[in-house]
Amino acid sequence: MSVILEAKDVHVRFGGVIALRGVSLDLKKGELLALVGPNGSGKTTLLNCICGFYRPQRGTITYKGMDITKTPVHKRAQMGIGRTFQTPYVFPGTVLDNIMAGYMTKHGGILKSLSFKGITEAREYAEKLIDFVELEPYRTAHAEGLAMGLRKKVELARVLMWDPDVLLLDEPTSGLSIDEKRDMARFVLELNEVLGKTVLLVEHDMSLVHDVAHRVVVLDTGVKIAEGSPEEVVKNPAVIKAYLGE
Amino acid sequence: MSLEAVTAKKVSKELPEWVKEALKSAPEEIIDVCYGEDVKVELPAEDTFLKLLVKFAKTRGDETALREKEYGIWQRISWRDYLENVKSFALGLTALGFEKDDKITLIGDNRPEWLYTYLGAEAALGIPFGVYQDNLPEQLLPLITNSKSRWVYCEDQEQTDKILSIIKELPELEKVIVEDWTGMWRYRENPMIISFREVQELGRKLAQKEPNLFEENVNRQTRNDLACFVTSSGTTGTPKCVMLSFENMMYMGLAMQKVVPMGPDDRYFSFLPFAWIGEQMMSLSCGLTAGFTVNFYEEPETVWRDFREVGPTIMFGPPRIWRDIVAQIQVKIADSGWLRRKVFDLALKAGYARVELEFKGMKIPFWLKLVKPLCYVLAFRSVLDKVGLRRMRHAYTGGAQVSIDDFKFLRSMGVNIKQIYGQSEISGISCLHRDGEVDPWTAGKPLPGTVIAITKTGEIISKSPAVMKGYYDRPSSKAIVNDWLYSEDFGMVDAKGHLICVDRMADIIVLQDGTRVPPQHLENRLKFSPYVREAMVLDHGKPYVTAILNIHPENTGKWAEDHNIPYTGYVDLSQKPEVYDLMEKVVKDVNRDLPDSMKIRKFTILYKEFHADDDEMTRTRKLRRPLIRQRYKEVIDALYSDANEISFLGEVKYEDGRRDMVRVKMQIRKVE
Repeated sequence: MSVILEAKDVHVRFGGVIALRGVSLDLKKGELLALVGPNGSGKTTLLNCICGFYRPQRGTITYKGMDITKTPVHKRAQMGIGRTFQTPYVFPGTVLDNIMAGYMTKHGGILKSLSFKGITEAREYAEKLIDFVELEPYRTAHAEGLAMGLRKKVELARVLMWDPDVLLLDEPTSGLSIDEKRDMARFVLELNEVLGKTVLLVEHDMSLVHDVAHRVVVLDTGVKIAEGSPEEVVKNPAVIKAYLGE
Repeated sequence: MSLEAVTAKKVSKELPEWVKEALKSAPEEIIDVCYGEDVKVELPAEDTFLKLLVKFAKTRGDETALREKEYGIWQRISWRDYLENVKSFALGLTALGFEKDDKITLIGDNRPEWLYTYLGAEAALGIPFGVYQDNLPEQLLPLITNSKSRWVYCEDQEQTDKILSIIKELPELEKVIVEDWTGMWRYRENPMIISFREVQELGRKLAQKEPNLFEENVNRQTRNDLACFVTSSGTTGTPKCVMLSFENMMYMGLAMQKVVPMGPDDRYFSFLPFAWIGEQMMSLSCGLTAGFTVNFYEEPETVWRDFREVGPTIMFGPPRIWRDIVAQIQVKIADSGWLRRKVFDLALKAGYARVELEFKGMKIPFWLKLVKPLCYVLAFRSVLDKVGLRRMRHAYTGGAQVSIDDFKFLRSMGVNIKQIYGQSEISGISCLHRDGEVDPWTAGKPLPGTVIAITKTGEIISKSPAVMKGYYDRPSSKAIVNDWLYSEDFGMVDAKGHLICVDRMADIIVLQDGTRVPPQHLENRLKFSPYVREAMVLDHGKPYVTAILNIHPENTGKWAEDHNIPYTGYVDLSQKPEVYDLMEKVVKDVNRDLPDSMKIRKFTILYKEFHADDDEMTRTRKLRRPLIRQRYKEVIDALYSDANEISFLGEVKYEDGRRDMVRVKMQIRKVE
């Protein structure tokens, strides 16, 4: 498997706080990689570096062989990187509006998106995604008023609108009920196994990670402390120490 | 139904010749009879569903036969496409080795594919058997084995998983055909599973090789061939497989149309389980003989919105659906402004006054007639539009006793709701109200050509061309004698010649002093209270009547909140002393109108709801009394002792299949 995305020796510092110190990570094409670690270990920071919200003080991010360390966020999205957030970001408007907005990213800007053809195309594609994430009853509901589980689905569908190759999912199952969790796990698996998306999953639920991930990377206080198959990682003494203390 | 009618004296009747003729074959002495119009109901030359479908595909090929909402848009399916889908599926089954008289069990929500499978199986000379989609695996097993199904159609992963969990006990099974493959990419390697589209693909290939096979098969079928198996209601155990022929089903549909004219312009919305004979009767028996459009919802969650978009003109639903609609209306009215509420209440008052007179068959005064259209325009039209009932021409309720309050409410608003009586064994319905003869206490008159008689023991027996061919899994059943169908329902005929169905024969309670108490009568009165979801009245050979109640979790929960009573869950809420006080009031209200011997003396509130997943109810929400009596024997014994409370170790089954035991203390409340 070829490496599609690589972070090399990434350092991030916020004033006196060092969030990441020299973390390297490679994501192979078609892989489902889980990124785990205790709170404050730098998982989300790393995700933000990859999608372009933060610029690392040191280190490089390479995507499909190109150095994208200095590429702006929206360009990275157009190149095929999509991400969702731990607390989903939806804007005022209906579920349909929210999802259709994703169309602009890939299909060439505002003008085309506002044309009749663009809107038709976007709606058609959005409906397929609504079918995929099972949001039919909420098509015209206001996205902001929806429950967490539904907003997460809206966000996922919006990311999928531009058909990214790499998906960065930041705790997609946090705050969800058991049923919603199962649904979300199914979506992630289907995206990876059927649609061939490369997925970087930040997740706290270890049983979920164990069930779905091909490979796990563990961070603790900004340092990578372990890497390997889910079975290996949970037995690793450094990981146990990080999670449970001495 | 009024109790006076139970003992009402019989009116001697001049019977028409054809009824006398029919009565000659009656297997035992009868004490009363009612009958429908003497109208000849002729089956058309196309005497099977498939022949009708072929005809429509030729004559009305481009018109809309089915409509399904998908991707947010109503997608139309023409009669030609309908036939094409059925044809390719039928041939696909043949290509897979489906033989004549093979059975296929259908499990799934209402989708066009359900109909394709159903009609496709018939066209492949087999027999479709629809079962309720919320059955648990262990409930599906006897249905599949009893019907000797070698094929199963599953709608989606949920249903497929159920079948896969019991597949070891189904050695005869050939293939599981799955329609919706969402989330099922890992099942592709399983050789038992095949997708619906693949079957159709195989069919299209076979059609190229043998272009006439489908037509030959269709033309080989006659009205006497079996059209399907339908589940019986199953109040006494596992539902039985009722064998119905094309003649049975089509006769019923055509006879119903003599009373309720239906045509190609009617709109029908299919959303009740297809396993229910009522839904098959409307979508197939009536749908294919009248040729109207059948509409399907997008997702179960969007039913009511889609219902409104369609605006159906005819509908047949069980009482719980009407209860839902009435509740929707009540909530909408309660949420509206002061003026609107006032106008609505006034209009409803006028409506009630009119309806009361209608029920008594009295003349409606001029001013009420005058006010009716005014009320409609000012108050009801927009409300009916919001719930999708504005275009409704004929609405029917049946399958259980409808709440009289709901019935009056809807009729007052101008919804033409009427009652029916029927059962799977008679292809759906056998009695229905005619326009202008609506009476909430009766089920109306029999269909044209149908004779219904009451035996000496009070059982309803019927004779009609729609009576089933027998039970497939119980060939020795005594349900049909001399072409008369024994219904096991206790009933009577009123002076107008309407049938009154009181209760199941086996359920009639006989007290020690010989009083006969129809439990449903008392239970329905209890259930009129919004706080009571379910009630079971007890019991044979005991000195007095008692009841086990289920509270209505939402309404009682709301009541508790309004009265500052904190609670954690159903078990906790149901056992609150305040809730017992509330129920005591309900029981007292019911007792007030009852003769002394029928008064409910003691009651308890069960810690859980009666549920179909626990086999305590049928899928159509009828109580399985023998099982309940056995399971809650300790509770019942306590109701007939001096105990004030009973500690009961009960099992709870959760939706995900987990089981748990809980020990609950239930009060035994005495009602003075």
